[in-house]
Amino acid sequence: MDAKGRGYMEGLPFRGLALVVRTVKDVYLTKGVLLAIFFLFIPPLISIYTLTNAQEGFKDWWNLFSAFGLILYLQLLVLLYCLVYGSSMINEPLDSRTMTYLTMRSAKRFEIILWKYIGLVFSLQLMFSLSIIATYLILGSHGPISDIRSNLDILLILLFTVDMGIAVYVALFSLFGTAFKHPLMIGILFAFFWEVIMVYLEANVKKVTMMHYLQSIFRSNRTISEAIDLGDATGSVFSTIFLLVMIILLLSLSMLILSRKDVN
Amino acid sequence: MTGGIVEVDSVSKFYGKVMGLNEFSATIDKGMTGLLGPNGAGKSTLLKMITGQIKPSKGNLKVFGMKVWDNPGANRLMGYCPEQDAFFKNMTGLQFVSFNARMSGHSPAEANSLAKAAIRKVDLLGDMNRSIFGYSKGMRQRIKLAQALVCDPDLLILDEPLAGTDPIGRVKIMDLLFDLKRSGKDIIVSSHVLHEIERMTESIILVNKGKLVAKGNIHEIRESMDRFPLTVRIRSPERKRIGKMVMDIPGVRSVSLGDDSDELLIRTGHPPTFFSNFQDMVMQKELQLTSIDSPDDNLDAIFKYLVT
Repeated sequence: MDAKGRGYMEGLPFRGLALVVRTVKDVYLTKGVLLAIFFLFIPPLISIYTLTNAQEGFKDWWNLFSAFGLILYLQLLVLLYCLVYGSSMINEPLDSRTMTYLTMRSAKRFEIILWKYIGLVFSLQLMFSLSIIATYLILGSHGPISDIRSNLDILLILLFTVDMGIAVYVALFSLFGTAFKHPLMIGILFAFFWEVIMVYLEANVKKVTMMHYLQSIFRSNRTISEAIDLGDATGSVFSTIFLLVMIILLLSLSMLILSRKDVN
Repeated sequence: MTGGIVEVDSVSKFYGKVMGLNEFSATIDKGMTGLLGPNGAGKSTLLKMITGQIKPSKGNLKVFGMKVWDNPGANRLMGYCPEQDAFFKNMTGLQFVSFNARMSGHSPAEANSLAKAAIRKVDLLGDMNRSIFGYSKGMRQRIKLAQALVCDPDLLILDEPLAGTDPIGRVKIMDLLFDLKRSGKDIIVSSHVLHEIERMTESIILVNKGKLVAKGNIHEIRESMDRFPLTVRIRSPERKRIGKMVMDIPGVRSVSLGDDSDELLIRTGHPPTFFSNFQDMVMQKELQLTSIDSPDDNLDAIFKYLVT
């Protein structure tokens, strides 16, 4: 064993896994995770409250689930969590100066973005998936078990949409964190004044938001149009491809910026 | 400019209007080199450039003949101990060092084994499973040193490695550095603890205001300064008699009584003339001397002289 480490390509999976695992631990092994989990479990708690206070059994619980998915998860929690975690993905190691250790090893700078991104997106997707599944099961417990099985497609579409949302917004906010010293304020403005408000404007204006494409994917859910009117939507396949391209573009920009940035 | 392990060629670094380094050129040879200068002189900027953390605004910099910016090939040969107390959250000493080894492409088992070997070198095995945030300042310095050593680098770059260490920790680190030097490692060490650097380094580089002030062996630097004023301290029960006599030696600028009852301080502008004349004087007049030395004959004095 050469103590200096393996060659660049040979060592790639080892350092990749090390940084992915480190990033997951950074998310889950901090005191802040309790707060993060608490907020994520507000939708399941609301579901319990709704069920226990319903005078009569309410029909079509899946419409309520879809509305939760769109409003609570997609437009609020996904944006909020991606803003907080995504903007600190590169900004925090730069600020705390631990980036020095990462850039002094065998990893090229673009790799640091890639591995941290994978770790962070995986961590958030896991957190959100548990919360969404819990909400689904709580609401579904109101009706017969066959309803849970027959509405599984709604759950899967929401999980896919939220996963796409996490992937694209983490890429966006991590770009802010790489480019700016104080990314949170810019992120808040972008998240809640651009993404949330613009998406409800007319015609083509909404198409400059990523939320529009996420909503368009979610609209393929057969129940959503019954719950909320989303107006004109783009095709879900096109929306998915568009968001994937955006992820690649945003990550590439972050990599480019970090590869030229001084680490003080 | 070839042959050194580090070649810095007309390198400048601008932070907006502030200049971190100004047309800095130097070749750092094998062995141990001390980098000295006051706060804000540009020492850390230079070390960060050598380790590829900061990109020069102008000029070229090579380590082992390689460009260092975003170059894993160069990183493999270097170990860097930064000045700042920066650590990842929720890590023990062992996890910290092991993680750094894994980032160099080692498997978890290999990294663990290398980390323990490095931690043994800095004498922290007993505390390696404790959280770093519970470490004393000296222990944190040593664990940073362990992460720099973990992949057996050819060149060690240490930014203020003795800062905050207690006397015992300081001796341990210095002994370790001597061992590494003996084993053929090249070391660049920056510090403002001058008397300790003086004991460690063969050659020094003095930096001030982003510029190279002097480079070479401490004695070579001293010899190159013909008119470097020197304070000579003499201890003798006859200090008043000696004080009157040395006033006649050419080059003597001042004579004063020291704080101790037998101490005499003489400031001379030409040390060789003083020592030659004083030696004759002692022989002829049979003067009683307890000791003779120079509080100026160290880097601190040279440094102050050079940068002011």
